Amino acid sequence: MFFRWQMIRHWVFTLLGLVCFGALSAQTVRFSVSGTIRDALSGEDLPGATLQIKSNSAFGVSANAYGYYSLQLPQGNYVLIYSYIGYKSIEIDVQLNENKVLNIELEPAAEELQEVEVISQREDANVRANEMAVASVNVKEIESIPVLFGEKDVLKTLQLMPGIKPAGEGSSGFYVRGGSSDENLILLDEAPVYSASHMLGFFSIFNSNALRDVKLYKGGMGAEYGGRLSSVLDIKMKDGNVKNTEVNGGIGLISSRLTIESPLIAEKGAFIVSARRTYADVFTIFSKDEAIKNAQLYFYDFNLKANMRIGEKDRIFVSGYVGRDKFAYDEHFGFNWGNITATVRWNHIFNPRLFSNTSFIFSKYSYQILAGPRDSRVSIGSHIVDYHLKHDYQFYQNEHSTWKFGLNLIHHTMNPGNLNSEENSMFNSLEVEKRYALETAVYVSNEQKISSAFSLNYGLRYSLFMQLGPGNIYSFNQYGDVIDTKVYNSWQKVVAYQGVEPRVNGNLIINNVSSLKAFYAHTKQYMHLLSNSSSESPTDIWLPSSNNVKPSSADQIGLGYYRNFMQNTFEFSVETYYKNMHDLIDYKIDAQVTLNPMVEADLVFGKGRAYGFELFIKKRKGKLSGWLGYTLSKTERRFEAINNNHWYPAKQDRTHDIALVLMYRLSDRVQLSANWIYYTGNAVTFPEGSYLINGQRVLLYADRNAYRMPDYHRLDLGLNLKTKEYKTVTDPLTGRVIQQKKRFRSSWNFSVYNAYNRENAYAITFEPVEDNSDALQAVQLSLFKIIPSVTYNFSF
Amino acid sequence: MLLALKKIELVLIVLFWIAVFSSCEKVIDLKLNDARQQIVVDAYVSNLPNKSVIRLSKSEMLFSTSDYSSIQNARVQIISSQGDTFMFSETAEGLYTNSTFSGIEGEEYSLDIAWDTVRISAQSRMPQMVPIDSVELVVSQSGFMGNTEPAYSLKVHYTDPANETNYYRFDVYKNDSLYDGFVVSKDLFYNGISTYQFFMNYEMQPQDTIHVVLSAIDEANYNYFLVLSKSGSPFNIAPGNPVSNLNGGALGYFGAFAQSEKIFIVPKAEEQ
Repeated sequence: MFFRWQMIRHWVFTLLGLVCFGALSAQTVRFSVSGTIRDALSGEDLPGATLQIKSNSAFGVSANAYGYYSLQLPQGNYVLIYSYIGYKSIEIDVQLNENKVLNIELEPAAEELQEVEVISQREDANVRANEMAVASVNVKEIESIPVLFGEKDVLKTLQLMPGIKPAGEGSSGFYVRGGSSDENLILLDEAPVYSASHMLGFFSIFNSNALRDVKLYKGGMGAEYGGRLSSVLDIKMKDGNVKNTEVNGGIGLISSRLTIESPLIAEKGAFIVSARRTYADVFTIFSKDEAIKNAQLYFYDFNLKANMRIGEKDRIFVSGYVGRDKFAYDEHFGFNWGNITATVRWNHIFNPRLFSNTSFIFSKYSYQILAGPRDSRVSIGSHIVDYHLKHDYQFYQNEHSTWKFGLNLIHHTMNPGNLNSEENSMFNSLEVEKRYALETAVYVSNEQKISSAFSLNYGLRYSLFMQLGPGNIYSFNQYGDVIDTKVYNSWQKVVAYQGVEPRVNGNLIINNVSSLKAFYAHTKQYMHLLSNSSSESPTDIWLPSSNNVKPSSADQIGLGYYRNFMQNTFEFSVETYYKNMHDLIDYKIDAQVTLNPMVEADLVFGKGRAYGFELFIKKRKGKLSGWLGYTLSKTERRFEAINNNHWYPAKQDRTHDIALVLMYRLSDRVQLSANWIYYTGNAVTFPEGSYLINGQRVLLYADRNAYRMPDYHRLDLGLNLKTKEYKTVTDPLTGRVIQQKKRFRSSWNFSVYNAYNRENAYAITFEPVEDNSDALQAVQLSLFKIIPSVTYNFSF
Repeated sequence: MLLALKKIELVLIVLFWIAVFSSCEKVIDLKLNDARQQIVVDAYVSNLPNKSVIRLSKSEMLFSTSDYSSIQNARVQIISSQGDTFMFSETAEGLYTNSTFSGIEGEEYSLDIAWDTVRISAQSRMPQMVPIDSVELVVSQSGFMGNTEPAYSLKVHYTDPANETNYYRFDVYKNDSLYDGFVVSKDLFYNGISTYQFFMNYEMQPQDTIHVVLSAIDEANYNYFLVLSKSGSPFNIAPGNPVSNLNGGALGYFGAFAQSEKIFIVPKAEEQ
């Protein structure tokens, strides 16, 4: 206990010292310039857009998640430069002798312009920004990247970045820097999403038509984020067009999409509605089999968002998501699962220097399985429900220093499983007791420019987690037998865990084109995913840290070098990281996860480590653009109960991982694209022998993950064809022939997945040789051979 | 049942993708280390006379084409908690039986094997016998996956005793040959009620003799067979070897099973 206090005190003093340092420069008379930065055409906020002072480019500020910015400057005359990648920069002269509000609209740069106007834009953001280990996806950019079934998918695009690896063939699940897939905090408009995939992971739940901004922190996440060990995937939905009604849609091989955006009340607000439904079950009509013909197999997503400005200082956002997978096979079997999230947010500007956001968030994930004939049907279900309050502030202290602080409160209800059976069924109804928990956190962080070349972002997060009653809480001995059962009342504390999570990022700008960055982050995870299958499964359940399960934690350090070449045409970076993970979870060999009230007795605990080297080269401009990512890494686990307590490779340990993405603009209307992926096969457990039990062959397995799946590689090709954007009309006044932009625009996207028809191993099983049932052979299952697809997109 | 559901769920979805998008299977050449040859004990004693069987053999390398070799001339005995010793003698290669032995429910039995320099021992308590109430033959004409041949399923009805946790193993034989797979169940979802175990789509013909054995087993045996029942599935969370209750370093298990059985003949089509 003493040690803990000392640690906290140490951190508090360090923080105070830095605050004083930041305040030193705040002596002269200062005024603020503040406002929002938006897209001139749609009125959408531009988070991350920057404001720089022309005379001293080291000082500046970037717009927050809501497009708001504020900068404190000593009284005087300034030239302000507002810029954002892909937009024309604006320069504004201001005489700063009072607080000024400047709401800025930036115009998107046409593609041709992007090539010419190089210098004026803030294209060295990757070098200058004090964040590393970040992967962002430009939602526009992914349009041309070929994907499985032509279903564009932000998660699959992210997997093409170094350090982020797909969970399997065609999967939208991902591993970040050796962490497992439940260690990613996935936020959709701040609402945590518990299961981010459809159809056993082949599609993500994120309909890219409704998204604006996608950012993944592989480490070095700010103190405002918490709750997961490995990464934060922050996905923001579009706000909606405040100027014009706009309709976007697409018709694809697998699904169709439609998005409508429109202003609300005199450009004060906007809404966006977006829907997507797949029709994989359409193909089943062609089956000769009656049962397959009547099978149901589809999923849908529905996104809704509205925002409204109320006066100058307040803004309200309401957003929601509903998505569900449905699968049914004749009347005897049904299975559905999905997420619902809802977020209400309130931005308030107390004064030009103090911005706040308050969010109320609801998130629910559930699944249900129905089985058996009518009147003796059995249904099995499980759900997790979160109520979440977030209250965040940003305080723009001066041109050197921007503070973030806030609090977080999440109430979790977990129903690990219930079984309902009808009267004639062979089962009793059964409900595994619900589990309750309260996850709270407070944080403070400061982005501080210590000199024109060095900036530091440091913060502390304090988290407190409580498992709550009501319920029967079991204690187990080492054999997994119950030795004690305690009964707890509603809201009674079962167990509490707390911890301080320091986060530090530093950026040293070496010169105009290069910088050195480093970070340290400690993260804690109080919610654990119990997977009951080796592939991603909707029946995976979440459990809280409890009297039997300690929270997991991780420490990660990273170092990176960033360099841009040829006037920011090429972006280059190398990063290395080392991560230690504690109190990770795995299963006993005979674990039963589904509907097991004693599931905690089937868990084993251990630790992990991961380290690696990531290289990234991106060409941003010109006819040919794209990137190459390479990762060299190792991730290992150590459990007392597994492999005699030796370190062994985690399933997702992939030594080499290469992704090459190329896009070539043939003309304004035709774009070609290709990506090639290679990675070392997953670590896997294979048998080395066999023996007879009860007259049947039983496999004798070698050590856990002692073998490798074959290496994976694949080439995808894409072609994007836009119809003519301009039509030729005769100007009625002058009689001249002019080019007029069409309102209705459309494009065709053709893609080929796995173009050279590589048979990548999805699973390897051991089966008897057909003509000689005494011998075994290894049989490889490949899921997707060459798959062509076509998508038609339109907007007006 | 849950495992079955789980399997159905995954298999159906994967089947769908396979059907629609021409995924493929092929035999590959895989280099594996050779496992060390180990002694395998496949042993259970039964309450029914002449049903207790102890088989001793050796494991083989995975891709080996030779037969599993049997262990001969071992000294095999069963000792009851009353102190009675029963010698099991080798009646076929590697097969040890005792025609006079029948176990008593509630009694704990010890296995003791001596062979070469190896001593292997294990204990298991025989649970109370749970009788098979009936075996129901379900004949469906539509069949599974559009098959037009009549499909046969079995419902093995039994009544689970309340006030205790019960574990079961099921064996179904057709004309004396065992259907593949290990089927075990635990009364978590049906404690104290009449229930049935469903065997969906078992290949059989009229006039076949079907023999169903319901064994009440102990927890260690249940866990052992549970792992075997999941073994080999590509979706298994953690493929691995089951925990054996044998002491002395051998693969396999020893169980004291309280068994009940039913035998019937599949009726001709016109009688169904």
